[in-house]
Amino acid sequence: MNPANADAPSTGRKYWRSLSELEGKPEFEDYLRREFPVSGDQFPDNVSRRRWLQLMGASLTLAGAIGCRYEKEIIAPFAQRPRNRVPGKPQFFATTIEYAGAARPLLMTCFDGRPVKPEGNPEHPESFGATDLYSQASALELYDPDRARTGYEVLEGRAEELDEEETIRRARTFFTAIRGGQAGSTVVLTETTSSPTMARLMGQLAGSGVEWVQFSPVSDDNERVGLREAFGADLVAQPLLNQAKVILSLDHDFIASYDPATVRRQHDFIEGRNPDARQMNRLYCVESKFTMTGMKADHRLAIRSSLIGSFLGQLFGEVQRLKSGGVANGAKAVADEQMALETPDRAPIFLAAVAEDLAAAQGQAVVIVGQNQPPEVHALAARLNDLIGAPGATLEYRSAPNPRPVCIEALATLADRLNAGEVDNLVVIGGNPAFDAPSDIDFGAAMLKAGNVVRIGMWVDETSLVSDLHLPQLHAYETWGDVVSPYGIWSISQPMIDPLHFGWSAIGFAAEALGQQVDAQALIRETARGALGLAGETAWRNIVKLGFAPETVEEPATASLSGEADLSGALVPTRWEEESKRLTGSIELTFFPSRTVYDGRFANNGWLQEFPDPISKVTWDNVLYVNPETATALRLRQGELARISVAGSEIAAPVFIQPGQANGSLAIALGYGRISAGKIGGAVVEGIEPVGTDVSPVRRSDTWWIATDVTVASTGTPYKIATTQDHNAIDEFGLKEIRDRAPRLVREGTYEAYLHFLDEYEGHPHGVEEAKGGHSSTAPLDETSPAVEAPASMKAEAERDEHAHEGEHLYADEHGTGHHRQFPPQSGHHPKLESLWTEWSYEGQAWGMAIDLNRCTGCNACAVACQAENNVPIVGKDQVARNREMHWLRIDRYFAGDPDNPSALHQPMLCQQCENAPCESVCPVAATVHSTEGLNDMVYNRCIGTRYCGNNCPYKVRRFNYLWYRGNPRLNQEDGDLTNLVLNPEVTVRTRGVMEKCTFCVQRIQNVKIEAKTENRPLGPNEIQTACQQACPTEAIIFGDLNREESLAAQLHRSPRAYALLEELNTKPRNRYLAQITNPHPALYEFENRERV
Amino acid sequence: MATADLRIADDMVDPRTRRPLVEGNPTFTSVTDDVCRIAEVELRKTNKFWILFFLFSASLATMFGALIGHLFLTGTGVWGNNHPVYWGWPIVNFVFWVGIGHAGTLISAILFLFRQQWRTSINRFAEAMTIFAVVCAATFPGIHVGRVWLVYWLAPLPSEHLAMWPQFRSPLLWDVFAVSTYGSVSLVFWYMGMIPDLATLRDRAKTAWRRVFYGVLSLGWNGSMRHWVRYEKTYTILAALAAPLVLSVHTIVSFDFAVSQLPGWHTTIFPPYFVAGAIFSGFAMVMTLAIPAREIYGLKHLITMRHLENMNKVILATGSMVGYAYAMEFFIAWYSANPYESFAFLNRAFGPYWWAYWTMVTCNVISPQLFWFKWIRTNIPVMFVITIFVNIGMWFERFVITVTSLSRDFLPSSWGYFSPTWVDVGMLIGSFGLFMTLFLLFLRFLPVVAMAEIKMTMEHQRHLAHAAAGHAHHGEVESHPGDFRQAPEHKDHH
Repeated sequence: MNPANADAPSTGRKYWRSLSELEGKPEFEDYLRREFPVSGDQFPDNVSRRRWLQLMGASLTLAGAIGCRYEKEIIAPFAQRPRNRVPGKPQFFATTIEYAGAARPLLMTCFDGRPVKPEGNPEHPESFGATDLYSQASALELYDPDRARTGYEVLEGRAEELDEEETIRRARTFFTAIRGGQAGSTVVLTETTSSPTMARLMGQLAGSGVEWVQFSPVSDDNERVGLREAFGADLVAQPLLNQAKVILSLDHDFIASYDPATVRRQHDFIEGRNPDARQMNRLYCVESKFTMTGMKADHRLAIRSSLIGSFLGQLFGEVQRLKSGGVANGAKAVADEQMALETPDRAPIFLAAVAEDLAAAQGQAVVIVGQNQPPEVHALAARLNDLIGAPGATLEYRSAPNPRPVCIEALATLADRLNAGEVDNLVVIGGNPAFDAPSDIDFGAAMLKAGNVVRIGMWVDETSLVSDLHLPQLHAYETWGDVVSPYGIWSISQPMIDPLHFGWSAIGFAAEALGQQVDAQALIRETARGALGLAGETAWRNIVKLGFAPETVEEPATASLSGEADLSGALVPTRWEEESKRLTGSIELTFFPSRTVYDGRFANNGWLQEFPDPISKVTWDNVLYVNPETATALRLRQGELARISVAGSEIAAPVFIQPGQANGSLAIALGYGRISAGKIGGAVVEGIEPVGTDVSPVRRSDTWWIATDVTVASTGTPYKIATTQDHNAIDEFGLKEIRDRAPRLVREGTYEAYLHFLDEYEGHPHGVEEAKGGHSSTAPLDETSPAVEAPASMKAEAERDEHAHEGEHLYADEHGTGHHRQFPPQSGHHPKLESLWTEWSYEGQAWGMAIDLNRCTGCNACAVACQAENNVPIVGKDQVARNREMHWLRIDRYFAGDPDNPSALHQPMLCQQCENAPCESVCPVAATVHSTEGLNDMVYNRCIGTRYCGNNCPYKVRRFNYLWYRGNPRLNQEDGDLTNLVLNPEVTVRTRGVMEKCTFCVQRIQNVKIEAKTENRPLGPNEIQTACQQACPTEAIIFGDLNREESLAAQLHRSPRAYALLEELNTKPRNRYLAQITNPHPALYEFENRERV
Repeated sequence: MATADLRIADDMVDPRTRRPLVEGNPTFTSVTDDVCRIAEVELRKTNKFWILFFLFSASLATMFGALIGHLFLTGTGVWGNNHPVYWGWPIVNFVFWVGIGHAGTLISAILFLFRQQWRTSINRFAEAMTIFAVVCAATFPGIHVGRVWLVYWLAPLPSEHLAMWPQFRSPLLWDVFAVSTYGSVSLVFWYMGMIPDLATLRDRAKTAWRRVFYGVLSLGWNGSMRHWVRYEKTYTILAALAAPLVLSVHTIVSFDFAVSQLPGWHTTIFPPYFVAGAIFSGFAMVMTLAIPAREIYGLKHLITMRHLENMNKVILATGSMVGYAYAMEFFIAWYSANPYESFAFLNRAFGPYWWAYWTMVTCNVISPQLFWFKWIRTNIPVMFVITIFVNIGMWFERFVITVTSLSRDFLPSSWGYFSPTWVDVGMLIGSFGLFMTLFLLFLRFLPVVAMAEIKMTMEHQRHLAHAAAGHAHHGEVESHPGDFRQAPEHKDHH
């Protein structure tokens, strides 16, 4: 039998596969019978028991291995690419975020649908394209892995996770119940907000018996109450600082990010402070703690916060007297009087100088008061402003958005009702009242008394733990919203990304409770249509595009004073003078929102936690500020825990000796000591210690901002404070050197001396253009006359400097500007500097930067912007304490002058991109190399980490990854997938063992260059913006091509105020600093610079 | 002969003569026996002290290895280095060990070229020390880099990754060449010099493994005249090669500092000052090791008081040079009127690291000055203590230069303070463990004294002895150090 032919058709050609087939051997026959000829489907012969078991075991194992697969991953290709979307190309959306009632207008950079880098909204008149610290860090908040991803049922302080379905079911049931009123009385507690939509919806909910209470631990209540007292209307005061020639700030820190309109105010303030345009305001600060505004002040007086009212009372009388034509007891006379005394006192001269300036600058002066000052101070300031003609000129009043009762009172009432069992349902949206309510209200305990507490929040925080049900809240980048900005512009938020986790927003909750559709966009449009009268698709599209509705800017309110000034109580005019000298006695403690973590809402934001406080440079902590003399008197020592007790409650906080703090005044920041913030800010349940000290126990309703009669004593327990500057206490020898060196590093001159210099300079051949290098010389030149006559000493000083440098040529760069004279002139002359190596020539672009110290307010927005842009890691407190912080851009801070009345200087410090870079020549593997455009490029993948470059960098701007910081489980959490989303895809993420540093945002330079190339056009002179430049509210940082005349950076490099830092080292930095100009009052200046005996 | 011995030992001996280099009138045989005995002891009968000390050192060396593993797995952050102080203890240790490694080659090469016969009893010892010190030294920069797995990028290899040569302007690269050249030449020099002695050990070997071990190492040496001629030539050539290296290595190491622009580093005095310091510390280390070794192994007649005294004189001279350099740094800082430099030096003395500075000055400047007194120079316990002081002082010198200068440079905002971690301390101790382990192995298994060379000096000494005993015609022999003429056996003197 030939099996091969068995089934084959009998006709035609015969086909065969192999010779064995042809032969038809029995083996082949056998082979064919098997279904799978080459496999082992048959029971094997001659298999031993052992072999059998082996085979079976292996088969079983292999069968089990079917379960081992690569992780399932869904890749959704853009089979059809959405319109206007090019993968990898960023898109920009205008939006606004609201922090406790303050609008922050933004333009968000989104990569492939994920928001990465917030910038300011350039169209918005409260941003000008700039941002603040908090906005810059907001992207990190969005991707915080500790955010609540689902609902939680809270039982006795333990949160049990619910699944999504169950969460939604419970939420719906609850919302329906409160709408129908079956659930009894309901109170909704939110943060203070200026959202018209929220107000509208809550107004509607009031119809179904739902009450709305607003509470924030930081608010403008005092101002509202004070102005109601003065004007009888709900108003807020908004200064127009660009219009003011004289500004008096009473405990008001408008440069700190916690100011609700900080960007606008800084911008305005600097606009009125342009010495090149011969326009220079004068800023006086009276404050207890050293504020950032105080750093920038021309004169600063440190007195206790509780004495500021008294100071203002006296000032008011003085200005009144001057205004009514009373004989001016001029500041000069007071100064002469004091100088004749054995122990002359600066305070009376200060007051006389302020009074003199305020009285002289009718309609050109403004008095601004901080939110921590009691209402009566705000009321009296309003009267003083009226007296000096501020309203309408340098100040506008606006009706307060969403009028509300005073937060603390509202909360106290609510707590009483909760305790009385009158509230069946409490809904707490956002905020964290269980953490930050006044301690005497004990709101957390009161919450437990409510029938049912539903918490809507982004984190399972302290408030969630005393609730019954926690529902996740959406981030502002995930939903629609609206807010009225401080200067009265209706701005909207729009979602940048689909919610990462599901949840509700405040208005989403309100709409659902009302049973309305929950499309948040429709709610916002409804507001636009209804209340604001912006109907129509075009108007709406324009609003979405711009991020705000320009049509909605309200006219300022007109307000007239009622009654007379009452100078009693805290306003008694003369009490402050003697009191302010006392070191002990009635010690006061003031609270202020943390300059980094605000009221604690950013406690889980690593960038902000690690961000140094701009004045003390402390990271990861709030410390008790005390001035050196008071510390000695109270026997407090730096870095030791002190016990502070206020009305029977106490806290323990580490002491930080801060020059410039007022005598007898202590200050501590809010927002620390969170016990349920997350892995960064502290989570006691997970065994993560809180960061810093919770000040709530001593922050009571009656000591809300200022506590008096505080007792404080050192416990002697040492405490580790991590600072990014002066990491260790500096010895006297070092301090002396710093005092000698600082004036060379951060150069300063007086406005009078500068004017004198300019007058001389304008006759010079290089003259006028260079002198007017300032890039916003928009101010009319006829407004040049200084408010007051310059004293002879200042002029003499200017002349002396002038002659000392006659004919001396300072640094001449290769960009053809030739020699020019410098202000302030620097002592010390050195021979021509030559280079060991062949110098670079720059044919095309030569990138450079100019940092105008006169414009820089030290607000630190640039530094966080840099961190966000360049994927700069955070390292944690221990590593900061080891001097290993990674910030590429830091703000150096130096104290100067009289230790009793120090001034503080600041200087943004980043890679200076030296032309003769000391780092480049010492790198053995050429990992840091010079580009043809003059950048010091870092080739991360070539760096092996010898760190020689870091040693050889005179500016110490290089940062080394001593450890794999991104691998730190606490700082980055195990859910790297989420935290990685915040990384800028255009910047390499550095690994351990690699040096990194600023590269002038080389990725931005390349992007713009590529764009220009594809569009076949030349690069614009000022087209490229670095991240720090873009964030800067005052345009203090200017980047550009030094080879082009039109570039602002090149123009600024030729300013007489421009100087290169450490230029004597011949590093030829590509960055120039422009000297800071101060505008001191002549009599005070003379007094402060008198020869000490 | 006993009287002759007494006279020789006496300080009041005829000043025209010098004290013999080898005391106790050993024979060639007894020298061979004395030296070989150390290596030939049966393993079971190994000196108890050696075992204890070896176990101790080896465990420290193991700890060193473990710490290096920890470092590799965790990152350079295990050390105390920080942002102004990018280089910390590892570089301090590196420079310290390189310095220690200077004495060996100086003794063997330079003193050989200058025909300083007294070197023969200590050169083997010192050379071994050099090799082991260079091993310790080379370890530190190798593990110091951030991405240690790429450390080979420092070498000029045609590497795919770099696709380019290293950067030849960088002093670190010069360092790589300098140290590796020094290390390899020293190693060859040491080994070359040891070949005749290894052959002696081979010939005396009683066990098979010893025969193989020493047989392989001695490269078939048979002591023929042809071998000796080539040996002598090669030895001289290698000495000539090694001599400039002694000066160049630490000069180049000093460039790591001097070429930078950091105040306190950027000084032209560094090359000579570093070389003097290196010889200073190297000699001190030789002393620290030789003093106990000659006690334990009964080599007092080979490493005599004259040797020790000579070494002390070198320590005194180089210590004075170092002291002069310290003073000159201050003078130049003042004279240059460079405010940063003035501050850098004043900061060393009066800043937060004053304790390190004054430790350095006390140990390096003040303590060797005691060697002006002969009774101190010849007092073994005192000199032992002083040499230890010098070792400590020289470590501190490197600490002061490296850390103090870095901690406070131009911008006061970046000033910092360095504190070591337990890993820093562990690695310093561990490197001593490694050094001692290698050294103990050398003591136990290799000829610790250059037997062949020392016998040549014994020839020489024979004539001196004759001269002392009144053989006037031998008085000029000293001027012919190469005189290998057959001398009568010393027994004749009895």
